[in-house]
Amino acid sequence: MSTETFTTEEIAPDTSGSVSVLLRFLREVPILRALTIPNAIGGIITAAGYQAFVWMSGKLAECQSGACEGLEYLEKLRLPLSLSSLAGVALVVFLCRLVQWVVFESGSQLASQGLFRRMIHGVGHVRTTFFDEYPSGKIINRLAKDSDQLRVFAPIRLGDATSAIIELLIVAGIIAVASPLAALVVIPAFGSFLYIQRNIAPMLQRAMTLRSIRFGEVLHRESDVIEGVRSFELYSSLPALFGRLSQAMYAYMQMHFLRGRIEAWGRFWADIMVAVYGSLTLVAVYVGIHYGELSAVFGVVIMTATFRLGALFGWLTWSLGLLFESAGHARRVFEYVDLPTEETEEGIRPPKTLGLITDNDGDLSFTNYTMSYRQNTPEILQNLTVRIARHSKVGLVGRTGAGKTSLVQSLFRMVYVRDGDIRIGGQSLFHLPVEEARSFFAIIPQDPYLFEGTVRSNLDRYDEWSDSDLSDTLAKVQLSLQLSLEIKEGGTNLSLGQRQLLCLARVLLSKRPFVIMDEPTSGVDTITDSIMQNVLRTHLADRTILTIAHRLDTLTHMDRIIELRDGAIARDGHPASIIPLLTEAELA
Amino acid sequence: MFRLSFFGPFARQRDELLVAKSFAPIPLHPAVERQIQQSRSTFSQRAPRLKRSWNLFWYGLREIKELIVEHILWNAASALIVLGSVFVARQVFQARVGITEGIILAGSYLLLKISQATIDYFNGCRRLQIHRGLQIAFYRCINEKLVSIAPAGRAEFSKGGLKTLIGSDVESIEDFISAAIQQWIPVTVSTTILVPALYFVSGTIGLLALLVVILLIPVAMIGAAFVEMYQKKAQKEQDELTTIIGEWVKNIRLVRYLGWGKAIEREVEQSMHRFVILGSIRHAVIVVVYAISLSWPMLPLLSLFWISSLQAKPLDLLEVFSSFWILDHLLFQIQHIPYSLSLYGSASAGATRVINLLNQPDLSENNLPAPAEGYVTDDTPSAILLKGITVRYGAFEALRNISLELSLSQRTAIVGSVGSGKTTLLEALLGELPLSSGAIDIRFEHLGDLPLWREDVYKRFRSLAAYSPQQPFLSNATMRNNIDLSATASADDVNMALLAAQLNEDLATFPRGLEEEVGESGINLSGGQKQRVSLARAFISKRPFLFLDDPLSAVDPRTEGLLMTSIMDHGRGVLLVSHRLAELERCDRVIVLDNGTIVEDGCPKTLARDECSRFSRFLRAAEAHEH
Repeated sequence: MSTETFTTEEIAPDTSGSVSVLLRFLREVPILRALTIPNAIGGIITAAGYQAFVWMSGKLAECQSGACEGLEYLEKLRLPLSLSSLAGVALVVFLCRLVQWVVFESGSQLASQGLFRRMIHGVGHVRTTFFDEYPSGKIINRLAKDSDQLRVFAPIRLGDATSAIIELLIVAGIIAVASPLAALVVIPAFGSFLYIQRNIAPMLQRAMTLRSIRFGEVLHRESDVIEGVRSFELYSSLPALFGRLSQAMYAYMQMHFLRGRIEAWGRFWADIMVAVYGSLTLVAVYVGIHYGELSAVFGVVIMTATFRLGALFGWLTWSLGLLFESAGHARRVFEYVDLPTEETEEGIRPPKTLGLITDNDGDLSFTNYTMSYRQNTPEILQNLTVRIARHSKVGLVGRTGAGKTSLVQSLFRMVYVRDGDIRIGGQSLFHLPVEEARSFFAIIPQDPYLFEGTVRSNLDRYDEWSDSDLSDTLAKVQLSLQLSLEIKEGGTNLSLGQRQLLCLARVLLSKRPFVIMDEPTSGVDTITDSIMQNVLRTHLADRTILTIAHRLDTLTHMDRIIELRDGAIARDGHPASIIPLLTEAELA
Repeated sequence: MFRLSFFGPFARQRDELLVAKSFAPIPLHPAVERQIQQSRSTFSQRAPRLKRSWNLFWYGLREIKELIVEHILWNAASALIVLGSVFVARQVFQARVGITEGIILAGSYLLLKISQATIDYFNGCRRLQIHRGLQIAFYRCINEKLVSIAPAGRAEFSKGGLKTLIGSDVESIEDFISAAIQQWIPVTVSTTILVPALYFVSGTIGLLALLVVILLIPVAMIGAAFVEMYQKKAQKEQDELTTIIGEWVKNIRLVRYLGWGKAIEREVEQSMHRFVILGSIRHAVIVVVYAISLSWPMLPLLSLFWISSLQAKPLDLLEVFSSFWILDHLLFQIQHIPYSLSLYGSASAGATRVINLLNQPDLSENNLPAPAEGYVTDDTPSAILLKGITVRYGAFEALRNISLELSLSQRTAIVGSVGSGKTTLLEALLGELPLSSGAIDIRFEHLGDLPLWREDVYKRFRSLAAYSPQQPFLSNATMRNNIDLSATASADDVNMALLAAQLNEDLATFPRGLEEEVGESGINLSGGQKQRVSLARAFISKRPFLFLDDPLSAVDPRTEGLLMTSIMDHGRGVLLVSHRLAELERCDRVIVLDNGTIVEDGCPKTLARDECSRFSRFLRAAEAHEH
C-alpha cells in the first residue's frame, strides 16, 4: 500500500439493504450456499455435544460420590460412563467444530474467487472516464481491500452468527425441558434482544461513518504537522496548527466514544435481559430440585448454561454487528461486479451507412463527429469532419484545451459520442469490438511510463515475439538493453530518453497502421530526438503518423498541419503556410 | 411510555445521531482530557528521550495511569461478582426449601447480574478512552519531536515514512498496550481473587486444573506463531497484488492504448489466486487455534475428574461444578492473552521506529547554542554575511565555498540554470539547512555581526523573514486557512494579501470563495495558484524580508508584472530566485550561480548591457524562446 498518503477506511453512507446484499453474497458463492445446511447441522452437533458433555460430567461426579442412576440413555448408546468416554465426547465436539469451521470458512474463501474475477473483469471493461471520476486510491482500495475483507470476514461472521444462534437455541431448549415456565420467558428475551439490535445497528453504522470522516480530519492535520511544521513555525503559527489538531482529535474522540457508548448501552440491556432470564431460570431450578421434578445433574447443566448465556448473547451481538460491516464491503464489491461495460456507455452508435465515404483506401476520416467526455459534460469536439490520408504525417497543434487530447481519446473510443462517425477506409470504428478498434492505433505517450517487470515484458506482454525479433527491434532504436533487465515501477531506473525509445520500439513491433505521438513538452535530449526522427522517416514511413507537436522543428518535417481551436479545426494546411502563423501558445 | 423509560436515553441518542449529527458531549476521563489539553501546547514541550521499546510502552502507560487504576478496580468488582454468582448457584442446590429462600436467592442473583451489567457498561465506555488516550499521547510526543527536530535529523525521515509512523506504527503500539491492559489486568485481578476461592472449594485438585487452564497460553502461542508466519506470506502477496492493481488502475489509459488489458487482468487474477490460497491456509490455521481455545473449557473439567479419581475421596457434583464455573470464568479471560502477545512483534518494531525519531537531536541542542550573554530581541538585521559556505548532499556539492554579503535593504535576484544551487543557497541562509562548512552571520544595526546559528539570532532573524519555497506546503483545508496559517488575520489583511498575490480573480471562480477546500497537498489548485497562495502567506505576515523561490514560474506575463510590483512594494529586502528573467531588471542586484559557485554579481541593467555576461546570454536565450 502506498505510504505517501494516509488512507481512511471507506464506509458506505447508506446502510439499508444490508440483508439483501448479504443474501446475494450467499447466493453467488456456491460453496457458501451449498454448505449452509451442513454448517448448521455441524453447529447443532457441536452445541448439543457440549451440553451432553456437561451432563455426562455431572453424572460422572454423581457416580463417583456413589449415587448412579438414570443412565438408560447412555446404555442405549452403549457408552459406558467413564472418564475415557467423557474424553471421547470432548474430542468429538472439538473435531466437529474444527471440521465445520475449516470447511465452511476456508472453503468459502476459496470459492469466493469467482466473484472477484468478475469484479476485476468489471473494472477492466468499464468506460475509461470512470477512472477520472474516482481517485485511483479508492479503486485500488476496493479491488484489494474490500474484496479481502469480504472474503475473509463475511464467511467467518456468517459462521459465527449461525453458531451463536444455534447454541442459544439449544441452551433455551434445555432450559425449556427443565421448566416450561422459564421457556415462556425465552420469547420476550429474544424479542427484546432483536429490538435492541434493530435500534442499535443503524446508530452504530452512522457513528462509524462519522467517526471515519472525523478521523480523516485528524490525519489531515497530522499531515500538516509532517509536511508543514516548518512553515507554521516560520510564521509563528504553531498554536493555530496544534489547536486545530487537538480540536480534530477531540471531535474524533467524541464520535468514537459515542460509538462505544451505544455499543455498551446495547450490551447493558442485553445483560439486563439475560439477568432477568437467568434469575427466573434459577428459580425454576430451585423449585424443580426441591420438589423432585429435576435431577441435581440437570440442574447443574442448566446453571452452567445460564452462566454462559451472557457470553453467548455477546458473541451473537458481536458477530451480527460485524456481519453488517461485511455487508458494506459486499455492497462495494458488487458495485464493481455490476459495472456496465464501456460499449454500453459510449453514446450513440452511428448507423452503418452514414454519409458518403469512398472506401478501400485506409484513410482515417471523422464525419460530423461530436463528443464529450461523459454524458453530462460539455461537448469538446464539435461536428468535426476531417480526412487524414493513408501514410501521411500530420502535426496536430492548438492551445491547451483546444481538443488535441480529446481527438486521440476519440480514436481509442474512450469518450462519449454524441454524433457522427470515425472510419478507417469504409469501416466504422464503432462497429468493431472495442479492443479490435483500438488495435489500429499505436501510441508513444507524452510521459513514457514503463510497467514493473522486465524490458521484455514491457515490449511484448503476450509473449508473441522471439528474443531475436525483440533484440533486432531494440537495435533499430539504438537501445542496448538486456531483454531480462528488471524495470522498476514507472521505469524510474531508465533515463527519460531510454524510456521514450523503448516506447518507440514497442510501436515498431506492433505493426499497427496508425501511430500517435504525443511529444513531451520538455526534457528531450538531442540524441534521443535524432534517433526518433530517424526511425520515423525510415521504419515508420509506411504508417500514418499523427503527432501532437510542441516544437517548431518537428513540425517542419510534417506533410500537413492541423490546428485545433475550441474543438474545431482552425487552420489546416502545409507546414510552410501554417508555421509562420503559429505562436508559442498554439504549441502548449 | 415503555419506550421512553426503558429505552429513553437510547431513543434520544438515536434521533440525535440519525438526524442532527450532533449530540451532547461525552465527558472525557481526566487522564484523556489532560492529553487533549497538552496536545494544544505540544510546540512548547520537549519530546521524551527513550531507549528501548518497553520504555515507550511504559511512557504510554504512565500517561493514562488513572484510567488503568480505574480499570483494575472495575475488574476486581467484576471478579467478586462472579464469586458471588457461584455462591448463589451453589445455594440453589443446598439451601432449605421455602419461598423466602427462593426469593432471596433469585433476588441476589438478579442484583449481582445487574451490578455486573452496570460495571460492564462503564467499563465498556472507558475501554475506548484507554485506546484514544494512548493514541493522543503518542501523537503528542511525535509531534513535539517534529517541531523541535534539527534539519539534519529531519532529512532522514521521508514524509511517507513519517505518515507510516503516525498511522500504522502508533496504531500497532496502541493496540498492543491496550490489549495488554484489557486482557492482562482482568486475568491478574481475577486470578488473585478467584484462586483462593477455588482452593476453598476443591483444594489442590482445583489448582491443578487451573494449571491445565493456563496451559492454553503456550498452546495458543504456538498457533499464533503459525498464524503470523502465514500472515507474513499473505501480506507479501497482498502487497504484490496491490502493486499490480495499482499499476493497472493508475495507467488504465496506457493499458488500453496498448491492448494489454487481458494480459494484466490475467496477472491480477493469478496474483489474487495466490493470495487467496495463502489467505485460506492462514485462515484454516486461525480456525484451528480458535477451535482449540473454544473447546479448551472441557479440558479442566476432564482433568478435575481425572485427578479426583486418583484421590481417596472424589469431589462431589457441586464441588466439581463450582470449581468448573470459576475455572470457566478464568478461561474466558485467559483465552485472549495469546492474542495480545501476538501483537508484541509489530508493536515492538513500531516502537523502535518511533524511538529512533524521538532520539534525533533537537535543533536547540547542539545546533542552536544559547548566547553567552545578552539576547537579541529587537535589533534589526541589515545584512546577511556568508563566509565560505559549502553545502553537500552526500558526495554532491550543491554550494562550494560561497562568500557573499547580502544587504537586507536591497532587492536581489538569484539566477542560474537548473541544479546551479539557487534553492540550496536560499535554504541555507534561512537556516533551513545545516552547512557542511563555513558560517553565516547576521549583521544587526546596533549589535554588529552575530552568527545565525545562535538561538536568539536565529529566532529574531526568522521572525522577520517570510519564505515561499519552490514547492510550497499546502494544508488540506480551506483557502483561508492556507493563506492565514495563524488564523488571526483581519478581513482587510486577507483581502490585501489576496490582491497582492493576484489571487482575487482565481477566488472569484471558486464556488465557495475563501472557504473553498484546496484538497490534499492542494490538489484542486494549479501550480501557479499554489505558488500565489504561498506568496499571499508571505504578504499577510507583513514581514520586511521576503525570500521567494521561483514564485513566477507558472503565471502569464501580465500577472508576472503585477506580482513583481507587489513583491517590490511589500519587501524592504527581497531575495528572489527566478527562472523568469523578464522582470528582473527591477531588482537592485543580480547574482548568477553556476555549479554551486557565483559566476556573476552586479547590477542587472549593467549586466544586461554587457553582451558577454552570462546574465545577458540568459536574457537573449529567454527572448529567443519566446519569439
